[in-house]
Amino acid sequence: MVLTKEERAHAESILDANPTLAPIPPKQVARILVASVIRKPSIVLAPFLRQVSTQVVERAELTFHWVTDFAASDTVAPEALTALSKFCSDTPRSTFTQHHSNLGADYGDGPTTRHWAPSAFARMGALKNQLIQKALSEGFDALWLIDADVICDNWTLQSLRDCEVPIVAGVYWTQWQRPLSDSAQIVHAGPQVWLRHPYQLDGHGYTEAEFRAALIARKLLRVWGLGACTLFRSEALTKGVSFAPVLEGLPAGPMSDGEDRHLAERARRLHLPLFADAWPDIWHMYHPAEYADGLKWQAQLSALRPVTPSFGDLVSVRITNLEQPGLAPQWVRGRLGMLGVVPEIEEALANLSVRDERVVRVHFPIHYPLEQYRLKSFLFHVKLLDAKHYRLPPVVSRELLVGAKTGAIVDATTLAPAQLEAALEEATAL
Amino acid sequence: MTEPQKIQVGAGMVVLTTYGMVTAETAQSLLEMRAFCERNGLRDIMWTWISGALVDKTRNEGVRTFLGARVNNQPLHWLVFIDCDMTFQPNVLDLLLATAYQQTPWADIVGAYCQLRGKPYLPTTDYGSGLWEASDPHCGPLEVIRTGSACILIKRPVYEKMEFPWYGVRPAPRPIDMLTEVDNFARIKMDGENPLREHPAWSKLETCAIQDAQRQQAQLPPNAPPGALFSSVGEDSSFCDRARALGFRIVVQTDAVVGHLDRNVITPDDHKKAMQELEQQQRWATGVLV
Repeated sequence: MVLTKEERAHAESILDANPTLAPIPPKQVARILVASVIRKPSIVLAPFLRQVSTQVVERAELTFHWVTDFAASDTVAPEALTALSKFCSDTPRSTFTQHHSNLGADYGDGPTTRHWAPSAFARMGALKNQLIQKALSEGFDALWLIDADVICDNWTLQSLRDCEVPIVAGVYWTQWQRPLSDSAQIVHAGPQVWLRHPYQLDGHGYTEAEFRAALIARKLLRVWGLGACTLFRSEALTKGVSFAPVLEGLPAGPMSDGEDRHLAERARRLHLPLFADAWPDIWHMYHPAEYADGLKWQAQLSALRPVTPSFGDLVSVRITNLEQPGLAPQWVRGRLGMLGVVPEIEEALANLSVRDERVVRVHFPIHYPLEQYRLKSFLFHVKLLDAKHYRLPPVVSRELLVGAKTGAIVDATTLAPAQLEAALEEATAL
Repeated sequence: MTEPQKIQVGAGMVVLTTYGMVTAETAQSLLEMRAFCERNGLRDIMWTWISGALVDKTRNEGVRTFLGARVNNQPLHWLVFIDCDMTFQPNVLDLLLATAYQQTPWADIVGAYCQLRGKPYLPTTDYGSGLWEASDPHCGPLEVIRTGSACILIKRPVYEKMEFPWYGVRPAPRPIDMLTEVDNFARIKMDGENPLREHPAWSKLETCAIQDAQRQQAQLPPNAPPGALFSSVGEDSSFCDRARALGFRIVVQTDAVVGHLDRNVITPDDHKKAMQELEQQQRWATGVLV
């Protein structure tokens, strides 16, 4: 009988006096459909296609499918279609179809933001539902639905998979209203995940400042609205989540009829929690005036990462208490050495390479805050999911005041305009 | 191992004070304490309730009853007040008696370690500052100048030496008001002169009093009502002040920890806080500290 590498290692470990304990990795290769509805010029498509097709994923096979939504009046369409054709001919398992019912009058770019009519939301929802149907009928394990102007780093999809939840979106920040060059108006960037409809960043136990801080700290959070960079596991799709409009129950307001609100509300009614994964670095190519930055961002988002993290690097970690099987794992993100985990785990992480895992025995001291753990020891499974050099998430970093020596952060949105002005002056004076 | 030493203690009285409400927790504590006393031979005790009056009148009535009562034709030696919004261990009376008659027999008054209801939940221990001071429980008996009367033992001689009424709220004018009164009184009685002004301590006290008044004034909100600067000394602290002035000594037995029941309105903030605590516990159980 021929043993696999893992089986042989396991067999040999039986005789090992000091074995390294680790679960045997699963062998299944997941089939993931990467899909998008596309109506963007080639200058946007180029970095988008490059980034989705160079995702670094573990035991997964990616299939790409695009649906175009160009109107007859879209002058950018021919060049974009050419780019898509080339991508599909160059990339295995990739296809696209063209949708022709867009009359071209219900959506457009303005000088500061985009404008949507209800018919555009409805059409977008219907097209995305087709992609869901494709994922279901062709038996994919997951669907990564991503907008064609969302430029992800190469480890985004793996991070979404690592979250192990039915529906999760990679978080990015956008200045939804772009300040005009001659405007003194302060416009803050916002995430594309929210807590209350149509777009409230407070509620469910958070103030807006707390929610923003948690996202800036790259945490994995439960949210009540998301979109544009969402991984659906097949069980969520099978349960019936979709972009079809819900008949009632959504509050009025700007974007209230957006197809993402309907999806979020449907998920809630199906008891499917939504999560926001703030670990990836993602840039939203939202404003035409910033399209020229695409290549710069593409390069930055593809930059190589450390194999083994050093002190101060950002790490994404999954920790499981092996002796408390009823306890959910914790996903911890932060800077190595400042993670806020027990010392044994922090030290173990410093010796791991990305995607490595190990079992760590933790000895809880007499003063440990959880009384029932005091003077006891437990085994923990620790996996280093990802690591990267420290940096703040794109776009929102523009409005954070960051201490030059300590990296301490003040979110400009939490200050009154006069305070912000004074803080900026004081920072300049330093 | 030697047997615990038994001491002889005279008869006494436990007075439970309430305006009318007795909490279930206090009732349970009381039943358990009564059972403990029975089991341990603490039988020469009169148990009584005084209710329906404000606290100072209630305590005075309790003392009057205590002084007039007799067990086996003998006067009672000690009085314990327990307020009906307290919880306590069954042996709290045993602890107070052991402190008063064995550990610190020189103490005339022995209080339990009890905390105020409002934040920061200070214990009623005043070691000499004139204020309730933060302190730890389980440090044995500690001498104080003031303590509360929610759970306290007082020996008979204190009441016999002190004049009626033993308990009463005392107005507490500011030091500057009191100095002004003394100054005025002295000039009336001493042909228009206050000879105390010639003493160097007077100007020092006056300076301190003025600074104190200015500090108080600065802390007042703009819409403070007239009289906001006037306060009073509670009936228990006032009792301690009078006892100390008569030469009696007070300790707090910090091993006798009693609980103070409170009521609160549950708000959405409490839900948020409780959920955060639950999540925090899960993180701790996974080795995550923040």
